[in-house]
Amino acid sequence: MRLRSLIDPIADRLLELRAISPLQWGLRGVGTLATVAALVLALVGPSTSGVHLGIAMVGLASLVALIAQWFDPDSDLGMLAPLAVVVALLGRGDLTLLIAGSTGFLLLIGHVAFAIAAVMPVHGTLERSAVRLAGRVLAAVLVVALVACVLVALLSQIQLGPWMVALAAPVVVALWIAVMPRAR
Amino acid sequence: MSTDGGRALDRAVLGPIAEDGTPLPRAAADADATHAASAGAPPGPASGDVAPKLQSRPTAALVRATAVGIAALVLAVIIGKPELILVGLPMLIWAVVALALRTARGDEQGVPFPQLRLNRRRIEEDGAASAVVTTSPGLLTTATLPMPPHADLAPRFGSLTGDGSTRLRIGARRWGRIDVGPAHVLVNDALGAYRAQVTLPSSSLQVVPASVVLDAPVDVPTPIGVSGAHLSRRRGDGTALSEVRAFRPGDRLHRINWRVTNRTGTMHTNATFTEQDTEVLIVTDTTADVSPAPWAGGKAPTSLDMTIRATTAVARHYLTAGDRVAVFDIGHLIGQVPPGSGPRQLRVLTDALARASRDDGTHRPLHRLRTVRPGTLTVVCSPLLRPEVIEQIGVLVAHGADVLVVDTLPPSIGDTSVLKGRPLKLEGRASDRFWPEAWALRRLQRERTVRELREAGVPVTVWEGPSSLAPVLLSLAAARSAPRRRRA
Repeated sequence: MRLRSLIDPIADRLLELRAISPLQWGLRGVGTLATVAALVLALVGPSTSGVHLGIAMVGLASLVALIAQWFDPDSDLGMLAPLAVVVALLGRGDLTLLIAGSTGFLLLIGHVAFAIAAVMPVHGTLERSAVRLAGRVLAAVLVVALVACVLVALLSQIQLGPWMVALAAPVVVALWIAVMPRAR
Repeated sequence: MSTDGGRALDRAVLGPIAEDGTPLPRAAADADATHAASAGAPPGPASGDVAPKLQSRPTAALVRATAVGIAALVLAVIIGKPELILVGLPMLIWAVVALALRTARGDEQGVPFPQLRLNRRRIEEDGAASAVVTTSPGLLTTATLPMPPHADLAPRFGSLTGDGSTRLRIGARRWGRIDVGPAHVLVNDALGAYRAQVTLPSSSLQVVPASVVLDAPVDVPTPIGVSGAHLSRRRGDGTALSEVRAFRPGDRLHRINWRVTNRTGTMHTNATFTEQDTEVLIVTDTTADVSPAPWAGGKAPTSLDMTIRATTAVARHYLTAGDRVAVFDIGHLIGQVPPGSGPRQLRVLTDALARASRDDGTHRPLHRLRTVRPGTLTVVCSPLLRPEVIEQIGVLVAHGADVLVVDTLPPSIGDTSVLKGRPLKLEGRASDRFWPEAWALRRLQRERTVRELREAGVPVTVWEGPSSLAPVLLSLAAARSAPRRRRA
């Protein structure tokens, strides 16, 4: 009787997993894989050999974020993983444009997967029309992001003086104001 | 993993807003949606000049993309590592595109208010209807319906996302009223950066019982109407020859039998039986809904299903023959249907059945039929479990009605063939309540009632589909034409 009271809740929980749609498994899986890949790309390199406290902290933050997003793709904690990747890349001395760009696109894929997973309930499915709509807009995002990355890579070759900081700061602030959500 | 993503989304959304953009209380929004749903209004502006809007809010994904993009950009500028920009740029582009799309669509003032429509208000048993939730093309619209009892949803768990509209299929397994909803609707932009949600009130779907065509004669023992299709025992204008008798003043000339007249030398005429319609009273016992035994299969009908199917089939059978049919509900499920004839009466009857809600478990006193016209063909559809129903049958017989009982207890209930002298195992587990044994005893007890009814001259037949009533109606017809003993 005691064994049954222990096993039954576990069995119920496992049975509940059947209600989760394959699409949700796929989206959350893709989101996790892409984020983990970005993390691995950020952490593994000649300049980051050996495990130290920084890597452990970054790994822990990413783990917390991914667990939170598995349970709820709309969780605010999901922000921790990409931020941890950005912080991890800060410490890399051998950061190249290719690694940075690849990490950025992997983070985008993970982000998009969790964003679409949050659009519907855990047992929900997508109609073809919805897949087409999301795919169309995501393709546009990918193209624009690719063009922007190429532009950044080209412009980064140009050497500018420290006066550019004065120009860049207001641009960043303006961008922030434009993009951040506003209360109505 | 059991945490529902949609449940967490609830925190990030606002309720619906009024036409002027001010937030509406949920009840008012629901009232608007109810109006739209009940009227079956097309998508678009409801009644005023401005279409109602639903304000959307940024999602956690938008905040995440913006924060990561800006953080990478700021750190790249501060540290002087332009490569770092590339890490956050794709996510920042995602956020900018989402914002640009929203501005281009004009969704800053809100997204169109979702509308729930049913493509059909009435369907037959085993039929299907569609619930369509519409917003506007270019928006990911997710509708989630709770699983209605005795119905199937497609997709299976009742949640589907479409582009601007989404269509969920509702398949009815049982007759009665199905409440579709309340529908939980999530409206997202194409990237999932902005979201709004609303709960639309439920709509009613009527499921008409599937009416089978009875494979039985339409003869009735005692036609009591004026004119119709049944051969009566009364002499008058008709087609069936009764006798050849001497001509009397008032007889119609075209009925003179010239052959007999020539032979006998006196005027003779053909006398005929009249053809009459009759009144059929269907007494429906909706007081009990006994589910079939677990081993009967998931699709086996309950006693109430069988009762309603029998009622519909008998009503349709006699209405097609031109008779007047009334329904008297001993319980409170479908109410009384006054006598009537023709296709309109069939529609009235099926309407009454389709409106009935199966889940009304309130205990109320039974209706009692005080009197009935002698000779009325009365078909009692009942599982014969309550003594009040047996008493009612006795009252009907005492009033001179031709009573016929249709037994609607599911055959799997009280089935003794599964009993092996030890506790019955269901789903691998032996029940300690002995329900199958108890029902077997109850069925044996009921057999006595059935026998007593038969001994009292009331035929009892088990409902087994369209051919159930044929033997009984044939025997009733035969009894009607059988020679009777002349009373001294």
